[in-house]
Amino acid sequence: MEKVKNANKVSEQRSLWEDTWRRFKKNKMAMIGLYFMIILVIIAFATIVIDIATGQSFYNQHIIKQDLRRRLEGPSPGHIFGLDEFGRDVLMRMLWGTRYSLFMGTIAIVLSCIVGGVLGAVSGFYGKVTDNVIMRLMDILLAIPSMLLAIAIVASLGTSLINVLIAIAVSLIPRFARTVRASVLTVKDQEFIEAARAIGCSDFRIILKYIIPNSLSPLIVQFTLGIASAILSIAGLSFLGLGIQPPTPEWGAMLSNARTYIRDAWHVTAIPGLGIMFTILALNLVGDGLRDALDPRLKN
Amino acid sequence: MYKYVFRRVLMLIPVIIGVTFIVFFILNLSPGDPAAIILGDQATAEALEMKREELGLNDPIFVRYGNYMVNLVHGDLGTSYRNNLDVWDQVIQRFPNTFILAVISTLIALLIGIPTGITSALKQYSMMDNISMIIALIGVSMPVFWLGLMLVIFFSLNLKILPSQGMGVGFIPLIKSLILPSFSLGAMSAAVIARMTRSSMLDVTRQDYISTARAKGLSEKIITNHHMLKNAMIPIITAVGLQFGTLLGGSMLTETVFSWPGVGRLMIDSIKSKDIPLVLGSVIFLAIMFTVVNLIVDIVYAFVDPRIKSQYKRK
Repeated sequence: MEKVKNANKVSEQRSLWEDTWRRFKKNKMAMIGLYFMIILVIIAFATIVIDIATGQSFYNQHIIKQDLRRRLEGPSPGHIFGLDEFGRDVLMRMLWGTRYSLFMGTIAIVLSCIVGGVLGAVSGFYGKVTDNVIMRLMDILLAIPSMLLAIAIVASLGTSLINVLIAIAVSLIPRFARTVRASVLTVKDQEFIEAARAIGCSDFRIILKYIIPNSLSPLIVQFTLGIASAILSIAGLSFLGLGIQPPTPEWGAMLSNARTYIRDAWHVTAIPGLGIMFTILALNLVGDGLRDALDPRLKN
Repeated sequence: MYKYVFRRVLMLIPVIIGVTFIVFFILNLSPGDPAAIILGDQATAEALEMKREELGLNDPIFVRYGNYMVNLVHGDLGTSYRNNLDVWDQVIQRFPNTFILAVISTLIALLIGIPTGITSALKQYSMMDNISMIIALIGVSMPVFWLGLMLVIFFSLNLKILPSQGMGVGFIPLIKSLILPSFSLGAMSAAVIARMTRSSMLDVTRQDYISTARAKGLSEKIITNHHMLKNAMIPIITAVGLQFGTLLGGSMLTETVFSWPGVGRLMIDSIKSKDIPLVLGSVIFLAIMFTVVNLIVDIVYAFVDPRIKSQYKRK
């Protein structure tokens, strides 16, 4: 009996995700976005593997080393995106910069998703005073433009990789708290929660096993779109000189440094921006596709 | 109705207290010692201690926050560490520049966003709809500062028809210097508003009262203008208001690109020179402005939406 029940549960669960995937696959734009993101992830890992394998010597030779005689050289067959203000290959720096945008964006969102998610779940589940206190705090955080909040945090703590992560993560917490709270509120009073309580599940177990899985789909969509806005904010901070510092090949920082030479060489400014734009575009496409695929109203 | 407005204005007070406290607290986490920044490296320990006492840095944070807020209500944000100028004066002097940029950008966003959204929704899945939604998606994905730089390359450096930075003096130079910054700031909002308008219009199209209006034999023009647009407008107004607030509070990127003398750039410059009172003053000022704009949007919303209005009339 037990086995049959489990088997049923497993097949149902799988069909939900299979269903979502089937609908997602039909969306051509979303698939293009997904392929683009997969390529970026592969590039990010490949460059990390190269760095480890060559013990940073490849990195120092091709990404950091300057060649001032050839500075600001335009695109040529040898360097299809040209050379930057210190004579470094723009394409190489773009490839090596992938990891910063991608992983820092993701880590920031994972952090704010965990903190915001827990706050939202607790807030929605316990209601009353707890809810009021947490949500008013979130309202206040929301009342500060997220870029402004991030800048204030970085201005105070100083510019380092970790501080930029904290700044972006904190400024995006309210979004997740609100999303999770809203879905907890819709799930909370349903019968299966009552049933779980009746068989003596602890609050912790109810939240973890029954409430979170049921509020997962809006969270996944927010997660994807959140990475996009985190990447934009990181690039923005770096552009202002408050994010990742040169000579690290972060895209926003590359753009910021190249700005001085905008009169002589447009490619050094244009290309990192295009990189940021296509990444955000791909994430937005995936996010929109996921939203449509996970929306039960659009089934069939 | 006035009860609603009054209640919303009252609710603003705790939000502003919370916002200012968070900003104050964050900027006080700074590891640097302000006394050392003012007096420089050569100062003796005794002089540092005296300066700290003078600045009130030895008080607990709540006391300092309380003093700061009392001064803020009197229009006093302290004096700048670097040049000893009054922070309030510096911020207020720059604010009109940020404000005019935000207003023009919002106007541009409205003029592009709403008509695009409406035509897209009325001709869903047409060529026009697909193209404008792809452009809108690109617009949402573009870093604002990058668009600004690209516009500079094209219009200022190649065509040489518009100034690339600064704010013009006199009417025509002012308008000319406003075009590029406000367009690059407004483009993303235009994209957001276009997407919002389209989905809001499409939501309304599926409502029963539209079918009823069609069944009554009303012309498509009347249905669009009177039945659909009016109802679709409500979420659009919220979106526009939020965008205006975001532009007001988030214009530092554009202001940096175009060397626009606004509050955002004042803030960035003061961060770089570690001028904490000036950073604090400008962040708090922008945050309060953002909150006030959101409040105004909420109130306008209530006036436009008859459902909220009637809720308060009955009582």
